[in-house]
Amino acid sequence: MSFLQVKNIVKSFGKTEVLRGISFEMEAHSRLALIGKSGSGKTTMLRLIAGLEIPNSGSIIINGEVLTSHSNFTKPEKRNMGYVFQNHSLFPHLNVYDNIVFGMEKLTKKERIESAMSYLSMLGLEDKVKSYPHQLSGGEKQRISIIRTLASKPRLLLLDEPFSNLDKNTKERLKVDLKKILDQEKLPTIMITHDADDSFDLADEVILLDQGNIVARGNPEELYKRPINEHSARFFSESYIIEKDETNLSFFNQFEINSNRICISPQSISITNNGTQAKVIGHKFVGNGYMVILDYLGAKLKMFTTEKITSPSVLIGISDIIEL
Amino acid sequence: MGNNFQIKLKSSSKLWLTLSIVFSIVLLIPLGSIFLSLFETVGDGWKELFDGLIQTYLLNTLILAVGVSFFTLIFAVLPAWLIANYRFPFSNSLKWMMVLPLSIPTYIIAFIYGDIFSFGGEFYLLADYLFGFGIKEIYFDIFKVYYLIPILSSVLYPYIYLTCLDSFENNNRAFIESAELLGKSRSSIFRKIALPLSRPAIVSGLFLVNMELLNDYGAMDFFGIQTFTTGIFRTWFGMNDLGTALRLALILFTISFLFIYAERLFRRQAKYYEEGNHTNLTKKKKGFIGSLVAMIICFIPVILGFVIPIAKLTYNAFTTYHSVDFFAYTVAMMNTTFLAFAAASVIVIISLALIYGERTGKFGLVNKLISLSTVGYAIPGAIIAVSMLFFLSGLKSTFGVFGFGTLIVLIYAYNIRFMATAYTPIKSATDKLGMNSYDTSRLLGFGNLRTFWKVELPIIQPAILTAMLVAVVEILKELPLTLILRPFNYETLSTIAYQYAKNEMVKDASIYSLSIVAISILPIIFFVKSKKEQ
Repeated sequence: MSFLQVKNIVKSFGKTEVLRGISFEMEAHSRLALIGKSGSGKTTMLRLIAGLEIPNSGSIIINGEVLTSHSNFTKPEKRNMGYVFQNHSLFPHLNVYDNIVFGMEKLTKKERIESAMSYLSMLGLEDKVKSYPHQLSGGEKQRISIIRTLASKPRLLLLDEPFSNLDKNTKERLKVDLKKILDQEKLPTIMITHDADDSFDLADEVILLDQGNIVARGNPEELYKRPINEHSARFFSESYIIEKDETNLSFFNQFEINSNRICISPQSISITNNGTQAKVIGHKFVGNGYMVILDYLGAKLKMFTTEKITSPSVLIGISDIIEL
Repeated sequence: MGNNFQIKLKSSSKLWLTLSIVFSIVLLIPLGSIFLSLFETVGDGWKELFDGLIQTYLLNTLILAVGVSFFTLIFAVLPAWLIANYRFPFSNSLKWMMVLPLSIPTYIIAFIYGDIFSFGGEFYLLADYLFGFGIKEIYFDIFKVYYLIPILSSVLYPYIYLTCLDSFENNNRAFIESAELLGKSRSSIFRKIALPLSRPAIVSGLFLVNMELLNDYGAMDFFGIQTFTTGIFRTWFGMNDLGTALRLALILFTISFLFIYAERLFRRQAKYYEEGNHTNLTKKKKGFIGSLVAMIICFIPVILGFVIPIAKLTYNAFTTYHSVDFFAYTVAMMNTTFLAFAAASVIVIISLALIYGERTGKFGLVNKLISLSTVGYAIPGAIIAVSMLFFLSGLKSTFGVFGFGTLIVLIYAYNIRFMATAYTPIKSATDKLGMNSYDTSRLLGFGNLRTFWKVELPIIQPAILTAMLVAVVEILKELPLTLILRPFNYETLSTIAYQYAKNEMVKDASIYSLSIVAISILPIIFFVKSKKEQ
């Protein structure tokens, strides 16, 4: 039996249906990312698992224990879930130590101090033990919030966009710290994010939500390389989705494509001496190279190169075309 | 989900839910019972009403509403604009001085100006001293509805001033700056941009002004103006005709609800006006003439609504202190303090129960009931008093319990009238706090009540203190409810001040009035301090 079973969850707020019969399972020790655009229902799903919302129908079962169903509801305080909010939610009137030990009432004082200090030293935050939340930086607050959640020894960790309010450097550092903690704790984790990069760094598996439905599920790397449908192509891949029309008909004919909609990963296009000529219509510096936008037989394509292209056209070859 | 109700119930805090439902019903029952008054028998008072009296009530209420609305707008809007947009001598001090008249209850301002303009009053003495006018040459009868309009406006305008100032300073900045970049002068921006954008703020200020006006009894009675409130007192106490008093209360209740409905409707329609970036405007410096004009415009309402009344009260208090019965004064002060703190404590506790019932519960209908139970702030005290009496009579005939004329009933009535004064600041603090701390605590294993005690209560403490302070001051100033429902011979500062003034001993009322004003200033200082800290 799976560790977590979410069965046919429907949730509406007023007349707006936010989740439309969501079902998925998750194994123990796995890390799942729920991803999707704003309003796709991912936060609602996480809150339902935590018991902070009640579904219209459906059930949520952990380790065979029914937490939410048509006849059962376990209150959030009885679920033993760890939840990290996107804006840290540290209690402003308590210092770092008191925040961390807040959920450790059953332990002795000595155990509490040991536990809190071991987490703080793991992340190099021992000197912040007496600080109050307003004296911490955004990244420190979020790391303390994660420590507080982990210190309560939850059976499932829920991360609600933990990196969304952080600058790029802080976000990268927090990702490293979080990965270190999760590897050490081996805690089943569900993370929600609207950024596909976060799922590449931390998740074993992703579920893509769109308008309250699951539209794709799989390994993040595989979904990036080979999107299984239009939704996953749009979300994970950096490539354009090309729809067959009069302007690009010759492109579809040349490659004998049956589908009316395709996508080509930027990494599948390369410059080659015996390739076909494509017109360069723009390029953008992306840090480790350039994303070049090409017009190839009327189809608009993206190609990744390490060097800047200055000529008006290039000869290219395409290794993989994904039919959607 | 078939069992959705049970599941919702399971997930809610039963204690908060039960308390909030019970308190909401307890607060609403007396008000609701007033509708049963239609079946009560009426005396001669009802017939008399249709011999022209009801037209007088309506006409006076209309004249006062229109007149006071006009004058409060004049006193409030332009000074708020000048203070928000320009730098001139005293502009920083005027910003908070403009609020000071709020500390003077309407009945006290009426006593003061009534005395100043009475035959032989300071106005005539000054006119004689400065210009040599004899009293008989320039004497006019101040006790007319038209003269009461500017008098009441001088202490009611801060309701509009505060909402307007906030709107001019914060919400409209982006629009004002855009207009400026398009080459418009600030005076043209005032007319074409700021005023239309501040309409919701002006309307909600006007609503509060008119609610205060409908509630007033002391000023109307002192000036001999016949309105619904004075009508309720007259038919009840003068004619012993409770049936007619109840029907009058029902009419006034309907008028109040029309105001509430209009205000809510306007607020809903005008939501888009309130977008803004909440950063203060850069103030422009006024030239000499401009500064002089701005100072005159801003000082007039402060002088009329605060400086003159306080000078007059202080002078009177000094000249009459030897005749003050200090024992009676001490007893009144103790009674007032006890009553205000006892009632305010109950109000704060009940408002916490209402807020947490709403915050932790998941039932839309209960939330609507809770919201309705705070509507007493817009219902004149006289209506609440009459409905309390009617409700208690019903209790007596059913259960044999009466309780009229006890402190418990008075505190009960204060709760109905002033629940919103505590509910609003605490609700705004919990709304600002959001649900994350609450949810986090619950996910860390703490139940609803422990979460409230350990997490939320320490955070919202300042809001609770503010709520307590505002409720204490409102109770302290209150007159009609206290007059009707107090225990026999239980005197407070406001009841003694009113009785002295009614017996044409305005000077002797001064020390009591001054005490009320002195205590009422406290939350204003608190408010100004917190604004400065922000």
